[in-house]
Amino acid sequence: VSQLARVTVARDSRVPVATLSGEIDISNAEDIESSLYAAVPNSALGVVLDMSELRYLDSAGVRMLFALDERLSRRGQQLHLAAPAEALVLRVLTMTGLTGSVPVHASVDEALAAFEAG
Amino acid sequence: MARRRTPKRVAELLASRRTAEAAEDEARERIARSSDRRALEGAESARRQLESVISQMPAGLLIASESGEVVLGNEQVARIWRQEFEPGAPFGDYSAYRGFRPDGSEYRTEEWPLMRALRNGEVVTDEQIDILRGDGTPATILESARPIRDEDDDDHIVAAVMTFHDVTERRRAERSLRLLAETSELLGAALDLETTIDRITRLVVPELAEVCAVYLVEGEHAARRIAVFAADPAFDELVEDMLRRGPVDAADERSTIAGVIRTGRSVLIPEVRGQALESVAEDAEQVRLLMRLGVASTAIAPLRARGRTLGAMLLGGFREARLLDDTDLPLIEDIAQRAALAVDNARLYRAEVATVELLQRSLLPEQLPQLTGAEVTGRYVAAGAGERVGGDWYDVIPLTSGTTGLVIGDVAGHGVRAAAVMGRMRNALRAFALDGDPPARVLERLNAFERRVGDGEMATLLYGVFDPERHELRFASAGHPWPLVVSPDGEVVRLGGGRSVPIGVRSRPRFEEAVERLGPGAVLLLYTDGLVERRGEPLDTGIERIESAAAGPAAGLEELCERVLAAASEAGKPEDDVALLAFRPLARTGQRLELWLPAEPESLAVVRRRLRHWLGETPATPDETADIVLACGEACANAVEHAYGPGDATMHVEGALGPRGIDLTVADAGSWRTARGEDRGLGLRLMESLMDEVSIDAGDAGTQVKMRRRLAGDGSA
Repeated sequence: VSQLARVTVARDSRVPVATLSGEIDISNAEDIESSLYAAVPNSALGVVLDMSELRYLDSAGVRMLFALDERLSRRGQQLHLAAPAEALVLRVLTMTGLTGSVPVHASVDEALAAFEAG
Repeated sequence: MARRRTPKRVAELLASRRTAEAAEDEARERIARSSDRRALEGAESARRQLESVISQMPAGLLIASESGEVVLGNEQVARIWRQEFEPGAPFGDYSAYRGFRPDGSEYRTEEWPLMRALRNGEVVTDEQIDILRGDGTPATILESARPIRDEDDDDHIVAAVMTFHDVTERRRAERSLRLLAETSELLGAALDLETTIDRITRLVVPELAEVCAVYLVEGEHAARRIAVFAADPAFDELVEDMLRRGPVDAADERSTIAGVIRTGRSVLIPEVRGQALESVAEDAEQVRLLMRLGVASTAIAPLRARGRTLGAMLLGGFREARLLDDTDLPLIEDIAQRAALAVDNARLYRAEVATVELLQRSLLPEQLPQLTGAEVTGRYVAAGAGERVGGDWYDVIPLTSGTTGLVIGDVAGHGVRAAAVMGRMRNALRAFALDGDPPARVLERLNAFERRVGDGEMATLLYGVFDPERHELRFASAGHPWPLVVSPDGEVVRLGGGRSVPIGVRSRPRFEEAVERLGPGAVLLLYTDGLVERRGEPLDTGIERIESAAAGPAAGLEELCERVLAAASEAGKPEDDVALLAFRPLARTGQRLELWLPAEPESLAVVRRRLRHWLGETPATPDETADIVLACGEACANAVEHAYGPGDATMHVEGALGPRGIDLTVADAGSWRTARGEDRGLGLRLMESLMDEVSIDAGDAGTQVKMRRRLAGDGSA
């Protein structure tokens, strides 16, 4: 993964939490999807992506999220996003309609709670 | 002919160890001393002795009496002339003995040295005469003659004596040596095809023949007559006739020339007559023309080089005493063979010229890229054609960081090899530069690369990276001539730092790096040594000349290049190619943003960074900035996806702050990718949601996306 963006994965709960920072565009979207997919073990219920530190996400990044959601759901796993109101990328998530198919929560805790509830 | 032999006397004479030449001189002396013919007849013993001397002389000897009657001739006369000789007839009766001057004109009776000595008292020494011998073969003799005067009356010429030597073999050997040496010289000279062939025809005419024509195979079925030459205007009509005709049909069974080209074997026709005339001539008209010109001999030898028949060389010998015969054929074949090599060399040379020029054209940037915040222009002036073309090059590489890589280089040597090495280095350097490495590191990698794949080639070059945000040039020079900077007020400075050894000379040299400020309006001049090096002049003088030419009020880059090149050519024609690159950073214009970047994914982050920076100077709010950056990013991503292949494709981003908000234009050379499936339309949908106006103009030359976003802050909303 290039310097443009970084993926940090925390596995201290039953659902891994991947924090995305930096910028995601066509130059790194594929690499990021690979590392995200690899970060989710078969045993996990799914993954939470923390979008709060992400500075930039374009349509290539949004397509990547759609694709990741599809791959995970084929394994019976869920993708949840954590993006607070002040997150810079919330606007693009809304505009592209991603929020309509992938659950977006105001915080990581809320996202994890959604898994517990599910 | 009655020969009087006196063997004893001969033995005595030989025993006295007198050389034959001395005997000849003595004979001439004795005859000259004898007062008259009666005295000769009277002294019988003296006469016998004399005759034995005369008969054994290596030279031919004739004595004519006052009346012009040939009274004596030795046996060499018959031997040299290859025909029976009997003295006793008036000199004029020996008309079967024909001689010609070097210009081809025939001797009349009274023009022979013997008769000139007898009638005019002339003393003739070694006059060269081409003779036609009794067996029809030509030969060359040297004749000497002197009068014999009455002892009592010096004005009274009583007889004349003539001696002559056969120098045919000696002259033939000399001629062969000379002609072969001259043909070989052609091989050494790098000449174009036409000049080479022209020289060949002029070599053999008039030395070997009167007319020479060279035919070159053209395609599969034709031999084109490339050159026809005759020195003597008498053959002008034939030359014109031959030149007027089209190519010879190589498949023509009847044509002798076609036969020589087909078989690769030479043909000699000592006398072109009847059937032979028709096979040599191309039609009846030419037959008549040849007949009018007289008896001719012809030799046609193939031009064979490197296992191929390139054509044929035809010689036409028209002079009676110098008709071509079998003895000439080995020499003609030898000349043809060398000529063929020269022709082939000229052909290869021509091919090399074309190859080198093509190579070089393909290796120099056809069009320099548009740059972000800078302008650039390059010149290439070739010193000569073909094998002189050098390995000079320049390159301008827009880097993904928004900086610009500048290259000037000079591979040692000339020709295809230098051009090919230049191509290899140029591409390797491009690759290393695009990795984003700093200049010294790029040179280090290039040196390591060249040491591994190269074959000991050497190059001097300079690689610099210009940062438009800092207005700085970071560069490293591998033994290359100093870059010059012309400040906006016209002052010229030599940049001395960052110098190391040339590429290829050491296995692990340390490359130095220097950083110089290059402010807006200053011009960086990079050049190769052809610009400053002149024979017999210190290098510094050449650089100073360029410095003073470049100094002065700021000019356009084109004008500056012209000025510099003019000064360089005034100092003498460059012996080496000249590459020149002029680069000028432009002042930043606050209201506008202009970016030229490679249409590559890595450029997108640069566009966003530069756009955010620029928008920060406008009234755009952070939210508006984010929207505009995202919309621009989408347009650029599309340009990147549609770029034609890797490498040279660039995209152009323009931003302008106007009364109606921010105008953005993103242009590329590709075609707009129409949405495939729902996902693919995401980018366009985003742009339309984020901006107030979006228009896409997809034409043959590329796609242009224009977008406008009104700003809330400045009342334009």
